[in-house]
Amino acid sequence: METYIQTKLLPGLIRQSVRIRRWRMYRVLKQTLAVIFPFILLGAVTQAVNSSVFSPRGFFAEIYHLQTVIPFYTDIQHILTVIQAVTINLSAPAVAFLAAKFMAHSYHKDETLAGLTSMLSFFTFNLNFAPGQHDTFLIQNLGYRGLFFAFWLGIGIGWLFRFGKMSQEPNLKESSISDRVTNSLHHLLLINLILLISMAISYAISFIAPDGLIGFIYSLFQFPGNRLTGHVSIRLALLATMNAALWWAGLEGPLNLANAGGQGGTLSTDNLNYALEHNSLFNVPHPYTMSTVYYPFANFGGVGMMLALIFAIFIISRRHSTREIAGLALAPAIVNSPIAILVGLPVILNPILIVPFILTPLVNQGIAWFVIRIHLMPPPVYAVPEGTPGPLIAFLGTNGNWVALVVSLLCLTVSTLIYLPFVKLNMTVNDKVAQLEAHDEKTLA
Amino acid sequence: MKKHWRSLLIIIITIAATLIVLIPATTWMTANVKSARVIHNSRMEPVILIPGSSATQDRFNTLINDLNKQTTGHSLLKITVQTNGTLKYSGRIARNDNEPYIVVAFENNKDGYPNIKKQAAWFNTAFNQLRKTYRFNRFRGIGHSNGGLIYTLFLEKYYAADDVTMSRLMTIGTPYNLAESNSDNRTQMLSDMITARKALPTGLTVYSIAGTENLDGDGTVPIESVEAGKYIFQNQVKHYTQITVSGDDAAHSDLPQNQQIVQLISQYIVATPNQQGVPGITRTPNGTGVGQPG
Repeated sequence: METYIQTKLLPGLIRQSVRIRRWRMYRVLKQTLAVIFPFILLGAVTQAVNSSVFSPRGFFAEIYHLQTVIPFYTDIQHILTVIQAVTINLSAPAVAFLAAKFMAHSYHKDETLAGLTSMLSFFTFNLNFAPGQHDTFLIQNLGYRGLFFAFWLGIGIGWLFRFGKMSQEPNLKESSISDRVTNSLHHLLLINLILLISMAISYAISFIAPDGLIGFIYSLFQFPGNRLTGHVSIRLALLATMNAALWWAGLEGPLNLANAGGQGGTLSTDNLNYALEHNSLFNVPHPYTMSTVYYPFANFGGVGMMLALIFAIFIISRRHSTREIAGLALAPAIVNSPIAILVGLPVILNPILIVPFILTPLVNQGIAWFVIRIHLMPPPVYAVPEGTPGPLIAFLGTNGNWVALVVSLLCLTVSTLIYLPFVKLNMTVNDKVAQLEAHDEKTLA
Repeated sequence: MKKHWRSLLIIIITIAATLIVLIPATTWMTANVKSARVIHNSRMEPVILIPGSSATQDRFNTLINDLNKQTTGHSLLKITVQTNGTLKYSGRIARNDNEPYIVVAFENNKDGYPNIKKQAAWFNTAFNQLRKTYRFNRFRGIGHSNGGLIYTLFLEKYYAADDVTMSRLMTIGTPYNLAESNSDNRTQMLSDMITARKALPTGLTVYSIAGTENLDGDGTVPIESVEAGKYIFQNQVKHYTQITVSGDDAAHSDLPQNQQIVQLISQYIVATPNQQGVPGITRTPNGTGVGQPG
């Protein structure tokens, strides 16, 4: 068995992964995410600080009473919100630009024009056609929510530029302005066609989806949670899997701690009312819900237990750049914001990391379900402040049950152990790809 | 060696950071849950009284009449549990009354350990019925004579701390060792109660009041039998206070009318003496009609 894994399975897996990595689209994805990472990181850190320190209901604000301690509290909060608005909340147009740019570059076509066209097309798709006084654009779609669509739009438009008339001269930088003008004129038809078609589609979509094409895509993924029958644990598992798969693809999944308040709804209210009327949490009416099993145990560092991934990287990775990314993404991950590590490593569309990304939340939910089932620990039902570090949610949500804290740490350990081999595999593939790329460049030269 | 120190440093910093977060977080949590609970507590916190053996639901009429002379807005509900477990009501709880007196008496009000056990079970039936009807999650209790024994058995056997909180209990002339005046001779009942004492709620405050007509006791119950309550409650409940009353009306059956005890009740058991906005409380000298809408 051991030998089979060592001689057949692993090398095959690595070979396949290396092949995927060398796909044009995957390389474009990695390049795009690498360029956008600093902006995402700044946005993620700002968001983390804003939600946990500078919002009155945030975790650190609550426990240290920061609102009365920090001077100019609301002013700082305001500035942070603005920083967030120009980084994370505008990342999708940037991705549309970069994806088209790198795609066109790979065909040796005019990358600047491709990028610009793609970005403008993306904005066109998010025009607000609603009558009356409104924002010109559907701003909610310009952040992480629109990333998936922006990337594929960029890929498509970059690919269209393959048919651009003139290939980009390698020495265009030194070429005269008149050459530039000629080059732009050559692409006039293509650019205008793309923008007009985008406009037409966008307008047509506005009749069926007020939220634009991106809103339309999300409505396709609406999880029919309440229509599902079957055992509660199966329902929770399906929802968690679906959520992880969406986040992995670069879409915002339905389970987002930022809007967790509205998630549990009536079930959480029932539980809380019971807990406040009675002295024990063990017999709450709904012991297994997303807010008792998923958020307190399977969402450390955000979707897919990103905190465990970061720890796994610290333990096993010897690559300086990877460790640095993990270190930078640690701060937002502590308050459950996953975007920095999702983009930085990247986890998005990574064919190796999808396995633990989906598996760890399921395992943790299973552990939590079992421990609650055998009455070793009550389900966490009290609401915790926004940005409470993952391993503390269960402890605080049970009003200080030590078993809950131990189970949380167990979940973290198990998740880290699950991530370890995959992080190692990812490392091996990365090294192989780097070798091959170096080799390619040598042959080109 | 250098690496060794580095990992040690990381561990120390991690533990310190965890504590810096965990300790204030725990403080926040405790305060938060406590305040949420206070908001959510039932508004009603009745005082439930159990009379001793041979006494009916009218046993406390004089006491409550005396109490109502000093306070306002407390109505009286009287219940007799039949031997088949059904309840007979008389009187009613006035609207807006958050601290009514509820007397629970028994059709079979005979003395003796087997009867007391039955009465505890009947009390549990009545208690659950009351909780369902009036939806309270906290209450205080007074037990006279065997009524204190019924309360003790109820707390040890039936009381579910998950559902309801009893904060204070006052037993008046309760013979924890029955008629036995030598505390070394423990009756079956006392040793049963001591065995099961761990089930008593740890947040409860108990006042045990002994009457002393003469140096031996209140004429019916020996003082040593009342004092034997310490073997049950002490070091298990939150506070256990033993008070001895002498002078006028210190005989066993007079204790509920003893003015000093009335004072103790209004001081320790009645939480809100003067309730505003409770309609229809009329005072009649013999106690009947207390709590009837006027």
